[in-house]
This record gives sequence, structure tokens and C-alpha cells, in this order.
Amino acid sequence: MNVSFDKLKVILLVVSLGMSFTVKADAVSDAIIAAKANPQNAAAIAAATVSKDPGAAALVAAALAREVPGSAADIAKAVAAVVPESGADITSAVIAAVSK
Amino acid sequence: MNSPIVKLRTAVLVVLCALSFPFISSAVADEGSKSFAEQIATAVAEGIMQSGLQGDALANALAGTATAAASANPGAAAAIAAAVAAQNPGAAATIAAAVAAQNPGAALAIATAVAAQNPGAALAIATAVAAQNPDAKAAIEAAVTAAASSASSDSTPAPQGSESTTSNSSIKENVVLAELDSALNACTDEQCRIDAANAAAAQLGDDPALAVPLAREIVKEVPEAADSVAGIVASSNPELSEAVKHVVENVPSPN
Repeated sequence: MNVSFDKLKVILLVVSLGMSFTVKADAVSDAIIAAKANPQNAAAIAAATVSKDPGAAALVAAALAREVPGSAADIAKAVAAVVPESGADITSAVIAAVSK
Repeated sequence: MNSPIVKLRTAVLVVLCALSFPFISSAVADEGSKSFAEQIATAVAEGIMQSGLQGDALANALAGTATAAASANPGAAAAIAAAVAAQNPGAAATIAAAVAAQNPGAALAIATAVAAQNPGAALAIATAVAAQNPDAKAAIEAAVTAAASSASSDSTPAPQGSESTTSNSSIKENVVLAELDSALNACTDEQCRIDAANAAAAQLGDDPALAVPLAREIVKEVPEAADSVAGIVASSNPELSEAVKHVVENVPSPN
């Protein structure tokens, strides 16, 4: 089977993107499970998750706020303290997640 | 077919769900008068302040947070801007300007709300918000001046607007007050003083930049004319009626 170099690059890119998404999704899933089991620690769980993957700040904050809406403000605050430059995204995501 | 016990269990479950809903709602949506958007914006702003971010990056992060929350709930834009600015008064002007740029129709309310919390930054707030809304510059400066003077001590001089506005307003203010002094010197009774104060207030016309500070000065001279002066000034500047009323009511009595 003939696979050109360009095609190989595209395939590798798709695979790496897929792996990255899977890792991010796994981290969020783990955080959700942990927060469900321990809702009073949802904010700390969110902060710990985001400190490992700052790019997922809004995603994690929204997912956990949806799971533990009573702690939405605490979750948003904890995540913003770790990734302050994403404050706008965190705010939008949490409001949208809990308001739905 | 369902047995009576199953039906009863279902009914109890429904009742329990209904009873728990208000508690869940109140926990999620609002514990007081604050909107949910304001609560989240405040929480995020607190987190940003704890992060150690500094300078422009800090101001921009807070402004972005306030803007995002105001976008979700435009009706609470002024309250959100004020709540976020309260976390860092040094960024109040940046925050107010950012939220006002997104909600031009609420620029006056936003500037007023933020200035009321940060009277020391009133000039910067007025300038920043007015830059986003040049058409409403005079009204914004006047409203911010009123809010700041109401919030701060009555002995503190009210901040002024831009240099040109200040200059023009000062000339007009001096002329009106000089004429008032002259008229008062000729008065021998209270009604004459009230009439002179009312005449001075009527000279203001539709001048939002001057309305509040001059009304304040007139009432300082003739406290007994407070109600009528407030009414005359507010009728020419209806958007400032509340501000004028508040300032006039709080003019310190002469010693």
C-alpha cells in the first residue's frame, strides 16, 4: 500500500489531536467522577485538574459547575485563581453551564 | 397495573422533588439580590485577585470577566461592572470602559455605578467611559460627578470633566453664582432669596455638566430653596433628576 509523506503527516496530526482530546476528556471525566463522589471538594478538584492542564480551564470549570451547581461560584473562583488570564472564558462557560 | 403502594410512593417522590426544588434553585441561581452572572463574575474576580496577576494583565483579566458576565446578563451590566471593579479599584476605569463598550446603552448607568464605589477614580472612569460614548460625554461626566460626590464626603469638591468642559462650566458657574450673590445682597426676606435661587437655577438650562455642581452651590447659598432648585434643575435635565435630588438633599448646612 502506497502512503505519501503528506498523507502520513495528516494521519499523524489527526491521531495526535485525537490523543490530546482523549487525554483532556479523560481528565475532565476523572474530575467529574471525583467531584460527584466528593462535592464539598469540587473547587479543589477543579483547581487540581486545571493546574495540570490550564488550557482546559473553562471546560473543567463548566463541567464541574454543571455537576455541583451549588458550588459553581467556588469552582469558578478556584479555577480563575490558577488560570487568571482565562477569567472571561471561565465566567462565560460557568454561567452557560449552570443556566442551561 | 400500579398498586396503591407504588402510586403512593410515586406521589411522595414527586412531593419531595417539588419541595427540594426551591432550595436547589436558590443555591444555584441567587442567594440574595445578586444575579447569578454577578455572583460568578465576583467569584472569578476574587480568584483572579488571588492569582497574583499584576498590572495591565490583571486589569484586562478583570475587564474580560466583567464583560463576559455582562454579555450573559446585559440587564445586570452596571451591577456586574461595579462588583468586579470593587475587587480592584485601580482597574475600575478599565473595567467600566470595557463593559460600557459592550453595552453602550447602559454606559451612563455603568459609569455611575462604578464611580459610586470608587469616587477617587471618578475622573478616570468618566473619561474612559465617555471615550466609548462621545455623544453622551456630558451626561456621563455629570452623572459620574454626582455619583462620586454623593459617595464621598460632602466636603470633598466634586471632580470635573475634560479640560474644555471644566473651563466652560467654570465660566458659566462663576457668572451664575456672581449674579446670585448680587441678588441675595439686595434681598430682605426669605421669599426674595428663594426667588433669586430659583432664577439662578433656571439659568442653567439643559447643561448636564453643570447641573449637579451648580445646583449644589446654589443650595449651599440658599438652603431654604433646596426643593425648588432641585425641581427646576431636574426639569431641564431629567436624566439627572435623581442625582440632583440626592446631592441637593445632602448639601451641608452653612455654619
